[in-house]
Parts: sequence; structure tokens; C-alpha cells
Amino acid sequence: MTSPHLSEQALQEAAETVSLLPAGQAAHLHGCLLCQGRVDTYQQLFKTAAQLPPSAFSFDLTASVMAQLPVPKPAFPWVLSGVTALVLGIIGLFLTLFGGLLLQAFQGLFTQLGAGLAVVAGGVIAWQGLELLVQHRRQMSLLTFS
Amino acid sequence: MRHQPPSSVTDQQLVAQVLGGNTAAFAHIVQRTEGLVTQMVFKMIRHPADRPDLAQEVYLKVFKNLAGFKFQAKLSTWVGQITYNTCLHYLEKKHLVLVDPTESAPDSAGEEGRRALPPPVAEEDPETALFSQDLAGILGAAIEQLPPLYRTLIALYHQQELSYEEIAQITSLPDGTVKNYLFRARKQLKQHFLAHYQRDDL
Repeated sequence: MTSPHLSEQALQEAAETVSLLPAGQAAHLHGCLLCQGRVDTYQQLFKTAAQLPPSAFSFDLTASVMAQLPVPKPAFPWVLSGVTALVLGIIGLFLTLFGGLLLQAFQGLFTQLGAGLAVVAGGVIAWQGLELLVQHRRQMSLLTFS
Repeated sequence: MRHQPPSSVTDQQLVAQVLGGNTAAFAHIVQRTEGLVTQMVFKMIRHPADRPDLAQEVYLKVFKNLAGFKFQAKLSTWVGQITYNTCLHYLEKKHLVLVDPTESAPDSAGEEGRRALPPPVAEEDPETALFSQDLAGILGAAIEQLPPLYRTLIALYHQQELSYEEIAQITSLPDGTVKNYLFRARKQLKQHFLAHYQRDDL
């Protein structure tokens, strides 16, 4: 065998895919036990590397990351704000248009209500007064003046 | 048990949900990419106490910059870029070296005197399983001795099964440089392997 042995680069390539080798090197590899042994070494190395257990943290990385994420800002409540503005607008418009009429209606209502309340209050006070008078007379009748 | 997003939900949909105010959807983005991020952080950062903070910092950056992600690359690739840059910044701050500049050039003369490892065996008998465990232990220790960038490249290519192009995007290194560094890393691993077995023969 006169062709030179495969270079390190060629050995590594052959260990991955023999078909990538140029024809001359592939022919040499076919007939050279030394180069075949070296290729076998690399193949064993690659196979073992692929089977090494993957590195892993002893804690749950996902949970840890999620706990540290910045808290998202609450979104501005556009719908609620819109509805509130609409309701306030309607109330404002109503008061502007019918405010005078409402005031008049409530003024009349206040007068009647006041009179009613005064009558009720007067009645309650009068009834309390009568009760006190009746009680006083009863107690006075129990007294004996000897 | 974790709630997994249905596979039919695309990355774009998840990003749109998060940007629309559904913060909970971000958990699915974390779940989809945490394997890559964890692997990179473990390989680039030697100090175990700093790893959790860095991984969380990565995801806070992802969350803050999500609106700027324009899907010019895969979401995982973009998250990988942020992870790489965050770890790189940490290493620079600590004056740590990403790759040893004094290391010898790639390729070399032959290693005529060295023997190959026993060839891989297809059947998994107990002896083979023990041998595989032994190899995994040796390889794991050998990877830990590599510079941070080499460790990361080995993990991305052989464990995460990313392509050279994806690794180049993540690290912002040219494709050729990625291949070259990966070549050197594998060669160092092989030398470590062989040295270990030769020691055992003595």
C-alpha cells in the first residue's frame, strides 16, 4: 500500500460519513486496518458523546423564570371608561335640558313633604304629651295624704 | 407534571401570544429551549453557583427583547445566541479564556504507535454496557478539561445535534472556524481517550 494514511481531518470526516471521502482516500481506508481502527475510535467517541446524559439544573428552571418575569401592567379599561363617560354625558345632557323643570317639580314636592312631616311631628309630640299627662295623673292618684 | 404546549403550536404563535399579553405562554418557550440553554450554560460556565443566575438572565433578556425577534432564524437559534453572548460577557467580566490561543494548529503527523479503541459492539451485553459506562465517564471527564468554547461546540454538535450552520449562527463564528474548533476539540478528546487506555495498559 503506497497511498498515505488518512489525515486527522479525513479520519473525523470518515467517522461521520464515509461517503464524503474522496475516492482515493476511501479506497485506502478500505484496505488499511490502521486507518479503520482510527476511524472506529472516532466513531466510538462520537457515539459516546451523543449518549452522554444532558446537563440539568436541580430546580425547575421554567418555574423560576416565570416567577421573575416582570408583572404585566394592567391594560387600561377602555370599555368601562367609555361606558362611564357615555352615562355621565347622558345625565349631563338631561340635566341641561330638563334641569329647570326638575327643580320646579322638586320645589313643589318639598313644600308638600315639609307640611306633611310637620303634621306628623306635631301629632307625635301631642300624643307623647297626652301619655305623660295620663301617667302623671295615675301616679298622683296613688299618693295618700294622711 | 409539566403542561406541554401542543406540538401544533408554532414558535411564531407562541411569540405572538406572549407579545399579546399572555405571559403564561412564555413558559412554553422556556420549555422548548431550556435543554439548549442549560447545556450551553453548563459547558461555558465552570462555576456551578453562577449557572442558575445566568440561565435566568438569559430568559429575562429573551422576554424583554422578544418584540425585536423577526424570525430571521429559528427561535431556538436566537435564544442560543443570547445564551452564548450572555455567557461570553460573564467570561470576559471574570477575565476567563474562552479558547486557549496557545493551542497547536489543527491536524498533525500520524500517531502510528497508538492503537485504536475496541470497536463498537452492536449488542448490549453486560460487559459492553460496563464498557460504555466506562467510556462515558472518561469522555465526560475529558470534555470537562477542554476550554469552554470547545466544550460548548461538542455539546451543540454531538448532543444537541445542531448543524455547523446553526452553531455558526449561535456563536457568530464563521462556518470554517466552527469546523476547525470542533476538529481540534475532537482531536483533543481522542488523545485523552488514547492516553487513558495506554495508561491502563501499563
